[in-house]
Amino acid sequence: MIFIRFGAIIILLVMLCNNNLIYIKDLFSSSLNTKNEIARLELENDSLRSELYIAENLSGKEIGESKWDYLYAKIFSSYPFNNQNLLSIANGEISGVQMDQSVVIAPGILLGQIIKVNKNISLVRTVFDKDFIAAVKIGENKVDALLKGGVPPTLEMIEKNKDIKNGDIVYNADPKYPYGFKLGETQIVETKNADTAGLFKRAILKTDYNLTSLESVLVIKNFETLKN
Amino acid sequence: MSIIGLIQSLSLITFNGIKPNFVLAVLVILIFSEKKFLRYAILVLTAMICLDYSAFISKEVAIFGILMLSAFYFKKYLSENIFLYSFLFTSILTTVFYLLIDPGFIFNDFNLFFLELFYNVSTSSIFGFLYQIGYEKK
Repeated sequence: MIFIRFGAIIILLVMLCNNNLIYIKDLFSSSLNTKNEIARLELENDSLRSELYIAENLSGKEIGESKWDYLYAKIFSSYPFNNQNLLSIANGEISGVQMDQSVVIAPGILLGQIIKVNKNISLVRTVFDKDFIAAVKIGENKVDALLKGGVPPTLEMIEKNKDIKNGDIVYNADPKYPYGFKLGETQIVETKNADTAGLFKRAILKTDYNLTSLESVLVIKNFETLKN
Repeated sequence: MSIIGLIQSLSLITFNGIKPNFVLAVLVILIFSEKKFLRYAILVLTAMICLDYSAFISKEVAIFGILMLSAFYFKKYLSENIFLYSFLFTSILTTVFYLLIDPGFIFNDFNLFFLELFYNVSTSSIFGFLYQIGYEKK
């Protein structure tokens, strides 16, 4: 009995100390609404910047801003081990979710792709999964790179002579996902990459959100990938 | 057990994006403390239900359950010192589990694997310590 009580106390303490459940502490302070509002505005700002980039760079500019048809989906649970980074969402075939559809955090901010669907639940592979790979472009110079999923996701194969810096925005350029959607920003650019004999630079992708604190995502229903 | 399972399934506690395997850590201590296999098996099944992250048949959770159930029969070969026991058993079970479900994870993402191993052993030692306090007070 004592073991259970102590266990419960330890778990509660760890939860309170952990960022994921920071809102429990915030319930007792007046800063909760302000924090939420700031996070929401930051995400909205990111989303608008991403949409602006898409509008400026897409060839089909006559297509209006309501080009994408989003489906709001609640996150059900996440893959419990570390070798994969998947989310299950509470929408499936009945709601029109299909394999390979792209999933975003907010309009214009890419999170991952649907990899399995049943009637009511779907599985999403996120950018934090080691099997997630996408061709991306970095910053205003549109430097090509390969995004490899993981904790944290990394940007590889960046040409050594191309100029990138911390904070450059990373956009999708892979045909599997909508063009121009933001994935995050560059952080810690490594110029000496031993794996590629110093021919390429490597950077870490920094996302503006914490995956574990997400409660919902958006599924893009009208984006179709090219199938072989 | 269900609370621990839900914490892990919902990823409520992570350290730098890495999820410690709380369920494994607690079950390791339960193997040490529980003498009846049936009672232990019920706890393993409860954990499996809570861990199942989707409506699909999850190979990983099934393997995890089988591994934890088989581990019960190996406890007699390990140390009676709870800290040494939890360290060895947690390390072995974490490694065997990933070897069974995804060996590439150990070799390709060794840093991640090692960090998880560290978190698992630490968690298991904390639970072992709590068990010992409870046991000594009885």
